[in-house]
Amino acid sequence: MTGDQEHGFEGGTPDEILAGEYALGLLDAGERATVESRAATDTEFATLLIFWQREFSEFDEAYEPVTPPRHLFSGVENRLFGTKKAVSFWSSLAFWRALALSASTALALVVMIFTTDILIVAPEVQMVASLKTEQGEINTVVLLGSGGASLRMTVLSPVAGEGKDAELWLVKASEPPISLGVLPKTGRLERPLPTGIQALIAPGDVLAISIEPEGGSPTGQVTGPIVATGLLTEI
Amino acid sequence: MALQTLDQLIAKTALRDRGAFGDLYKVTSGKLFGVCLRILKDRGQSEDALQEVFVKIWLNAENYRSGQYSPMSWLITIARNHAIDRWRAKRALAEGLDAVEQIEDTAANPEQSAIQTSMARQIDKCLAELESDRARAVQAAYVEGFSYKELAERHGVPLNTMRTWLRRSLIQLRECLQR
Repeated sequence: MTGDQEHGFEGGTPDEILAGEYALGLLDAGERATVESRAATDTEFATLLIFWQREFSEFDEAYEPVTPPRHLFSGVENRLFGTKKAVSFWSSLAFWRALALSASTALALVVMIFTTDILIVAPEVQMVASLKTEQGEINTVVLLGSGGASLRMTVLSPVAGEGKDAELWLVKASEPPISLGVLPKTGRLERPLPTGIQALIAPGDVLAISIEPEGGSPTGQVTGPIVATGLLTEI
Repeated sequence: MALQTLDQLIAKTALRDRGAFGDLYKVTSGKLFGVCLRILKDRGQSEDALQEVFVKIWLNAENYRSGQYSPMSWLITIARNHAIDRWRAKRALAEGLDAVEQIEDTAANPEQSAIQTSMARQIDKCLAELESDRARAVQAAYVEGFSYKELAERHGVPLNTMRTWLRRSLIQLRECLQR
């Protein structure tokens, strides 16, 4: 994590500072997750977090309440409970009209079912993660298009030395990391994601880069050091 | 709606009471929208973020422990962290795709934005013991959700200097607050 030696100022323990950085919002999403999982088992550390959060919550009065637009809450309900009645594709007048106008009906039907099905089942969600090194430098930007079907990786600075490769991992809480493949040495690479992974990947997941032997991890699990992490966020 | 405390509304939300969740939204969405707007500085982004925040609140309500700190500050923490992540991801995308440093200049300068009205609170007394630019940096980190890097840019100091400033300030604050 963040270099402990750097933290060791006179009079303050590294944990006191780390907890303060957490409460101020200075940590990135990956570091924050580490801190939270530690606090779940380490009560002394948890007490420090509560100390800082209580103190800094005094600043909350700086946030002026603003009434959000009325439709927002139904958006929340739709996301959680899917209460918005999906307009049935088959009863859509536009669909039948389009079909009737279409000359090669069979082909149109196949194409439309295919495209519409994708739209209904997997609404286009674009997610992005910027993976940063311990020093806070952005190393790689990952973009997920159309329901997680395509994975675009832009490597800004190479991290793997001679004979090594950088491998991208999907880290979901309390599960072993899942490989998303080897990163390009530098520049941009786009490839489809396997269907099994598309269904798993979601905003809030952490992506991480580890250094592995050339060609990727021989075991299917992380074997080398983690050099950068980032949180997947919807855009 | 019967008058219920936030504690009760969160507890009922944890039990999957959609009515209580709706009430919780009514009572707290204004403040949490204010948090999103302050950090994201964009209305459309903030509307999306607020919806995501309430999805998180629904999903995480069972993790709330009453008594540790106020329910409102628990909710604000969720909103702040979410807005901060969104802002940083967006900023990183802009930087990444351009592969250049791009200093966002949409926000107010630190002098304008960081000084909050101060009451006679312990935290303010302790902040006053810090050098003023450091005190402002501490407050801006929290209120505006700025990263070390953004704070360094705004104060025109190297990144490591900003880290040192804030870490030393945390030590001084802790000492003062425990007095």
